[in-house]
Amino acid sequence: MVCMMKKNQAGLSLLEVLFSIAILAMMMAAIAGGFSQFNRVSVSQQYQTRAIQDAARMLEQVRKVANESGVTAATSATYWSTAGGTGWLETSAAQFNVLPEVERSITFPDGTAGNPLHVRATVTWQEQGNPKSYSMDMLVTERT
Amino acid sequence: MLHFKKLENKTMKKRQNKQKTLKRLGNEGGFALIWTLLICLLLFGLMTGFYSVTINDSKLSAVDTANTQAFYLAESAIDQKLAELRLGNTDPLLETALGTMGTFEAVYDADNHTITASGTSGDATRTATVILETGALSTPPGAEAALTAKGRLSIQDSYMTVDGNDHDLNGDDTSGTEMPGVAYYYTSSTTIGGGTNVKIGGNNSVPIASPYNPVSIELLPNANDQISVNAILGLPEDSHALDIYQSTSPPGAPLNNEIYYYTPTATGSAASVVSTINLGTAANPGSGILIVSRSNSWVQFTGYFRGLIMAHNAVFAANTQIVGGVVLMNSTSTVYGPSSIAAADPEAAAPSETEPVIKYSSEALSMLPTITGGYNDPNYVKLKHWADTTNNAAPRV
Repeated sequence: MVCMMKKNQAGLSLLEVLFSIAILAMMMAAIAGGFSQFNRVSVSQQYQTRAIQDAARMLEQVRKVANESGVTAATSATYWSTAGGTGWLETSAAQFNVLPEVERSITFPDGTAGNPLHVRATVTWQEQGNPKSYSMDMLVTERT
Repeated sequence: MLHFKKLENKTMKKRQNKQKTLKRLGNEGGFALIWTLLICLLLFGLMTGFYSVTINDSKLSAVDTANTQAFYLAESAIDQKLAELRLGNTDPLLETALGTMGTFEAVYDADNHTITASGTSGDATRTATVILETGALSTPPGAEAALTAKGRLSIQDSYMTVDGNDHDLNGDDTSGTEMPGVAYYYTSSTTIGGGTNVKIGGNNSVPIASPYNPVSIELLPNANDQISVNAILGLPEDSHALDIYQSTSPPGAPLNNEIYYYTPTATGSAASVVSTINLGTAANPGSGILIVSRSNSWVQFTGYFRGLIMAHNAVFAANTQIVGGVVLMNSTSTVYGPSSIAAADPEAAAPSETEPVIKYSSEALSMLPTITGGYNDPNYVKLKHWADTTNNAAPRV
């Protein structure tokens, strides 16, 4: 009788262990997926923050140029970007926070004749193989 | 005997309890599941923690994004209202959308000369207040002394007097707005005067030869501030308000309270100036704003003038008197007076010469012709400084 009980106990333990392993495996898989998702969201937020900072710096540069040399000077396409890569976006802006495969552009949605000038700073980058972009708008006139 | 039996029973009970406990400890059935449950609870707690951190980060990120966008919307409202004020529109700027970022609005307070602007993006609203310099100024913002150089300055060893003390229209010293004689951007390569014949005074110090009284000289903080013609006269950098006054020829006659914008076609040198401009006579001095603008151009000025002269370099002839101010615009501007002053010659009945004099005069500068959109236009507006940068940002939840 004692022997039988011992045998039964051993069988239950094995079943328990198998159950436990299965539950733990499922839990670990869920956690691994969760971690991966959290990491993805965290990286995405970091990139978004950097993109906002980039766009804000670009707009501040537009304001600086407008105050120093007039609004018309701020619309100079060659000041921002040149074929030879010597424009402000390709030199100074390139030292900003690094985003993967980042591209920056300054555009004027309402044309270049307006005063105040409608300026749009756009940052595009690659995030897990997908293109992402962030744009920020501002009106600029000479303040001083 | 009875006592012995009782003792035996007690010992038996103790033994039985001990065996029960050992049996319970020996039975490990369900223990692995309990451990699994505990580990699962732990992992669930961890997951919940990470989830909560991620959600919180997402919220913070969204609030920061909205706050930044709201800030630039408020900035946009300031610029929009500034541009409208320059066109004489003082009405409140109603809620206006900018792209898909959000909306902005602004109110101009004419009594306090402030713009209070706000931008709204999502739940975030930011407000900014700026103080403006509005209405016509009495003197050009670029004239900061009797002789102002927006870049480096070199006054060559020659006969010349520069006096920043305030003078009336006749050139007589009067108590008013005392200014420095010379203001310039200082670098170690800059020299003012090379001998004893250049005299500088100002800020209640009479003109004296080198070493000059320090109160007579002001060092400007940077070379690029207001170096353009437009900036000196308070115009936007890309303004074309002065285009109508431009000419490639020097003025044929002394100015009569007018603006003349001479753009020489050649540069010349101090010894070979491109033209000599007759400013007027002592009895009938010229007046107004005379601009000679060409980088490294050289022009000689002779005669009597009341008002503002702007040039890149200047040669002043003997017997020249300018009451008002002179502003130089080169990155390094050079000024010459005559190298000698002739004494009176009784035989030829020629009077003695006097050294050229530049006398600051707030009165002469306040009478300059009105420039549309410039410092003396009633609609003149520029941002003086921020009054409030608290910017009621949305709380970071």
